[in-house]
Amino acid sequence: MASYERTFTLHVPSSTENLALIRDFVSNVGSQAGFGEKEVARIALAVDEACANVIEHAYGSDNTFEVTVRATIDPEQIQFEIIDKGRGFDPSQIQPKDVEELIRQRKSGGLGLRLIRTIMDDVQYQIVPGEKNELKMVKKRQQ
Amino acid sequence: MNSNRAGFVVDCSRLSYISSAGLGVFMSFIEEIREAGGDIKLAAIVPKVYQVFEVLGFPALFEIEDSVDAAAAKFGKGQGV
Repeated sequence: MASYERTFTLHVPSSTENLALIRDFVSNVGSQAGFGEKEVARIALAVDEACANVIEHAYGSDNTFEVTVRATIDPEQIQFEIIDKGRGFDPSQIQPKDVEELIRQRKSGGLGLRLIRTIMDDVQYQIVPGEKNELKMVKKRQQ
Repeated sequence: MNSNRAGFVVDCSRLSYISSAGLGVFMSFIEEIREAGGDIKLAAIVPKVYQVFEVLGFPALFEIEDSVDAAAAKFGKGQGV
């Protein structure tokens, strides 16, 4: 297979109203990359969750900022980078709780990170609060 | 949740998307309802939405039926639906 790399970038205001737009973008890129419908829907969900976290937590639901979603397709995988300039937090320090545990505690939150880590093959964070926070997540093609 | 043994059927047939925030709503109420002897049953979930429930293992934690009628039928007599 010939080596190639294609990059697509979406910039949107930091409002949850734009999550549908982000999911459409991810779905289109995922389909173009050759992922199946079910896999594309799962990847769109993971990116949606990551962007929702940025909008609600990094930007405190202030819609005057910007979220950048950059997708890179290559022969082995699809990678999404979620970039913001908000107050970053390091999700790698948070141990996702079991759903059963969250139910016992009557919690409504805490599922987003679990979804992202379950769906994607690799998740990495680079946090410089107020300057640039970057979440990279990779989904490998099934061989 | 004052009524004992309250049975809730959630008709998901018109639900085209759900994220963790939506799932969290079910998660936060289920314990209280079950402690009162009731339950939440989810019905008519489209495949695209079902797979979100599946990713988190919800089918093992919530009863999911193909239709609202099937879900309602699962509740015994004496339970409000």
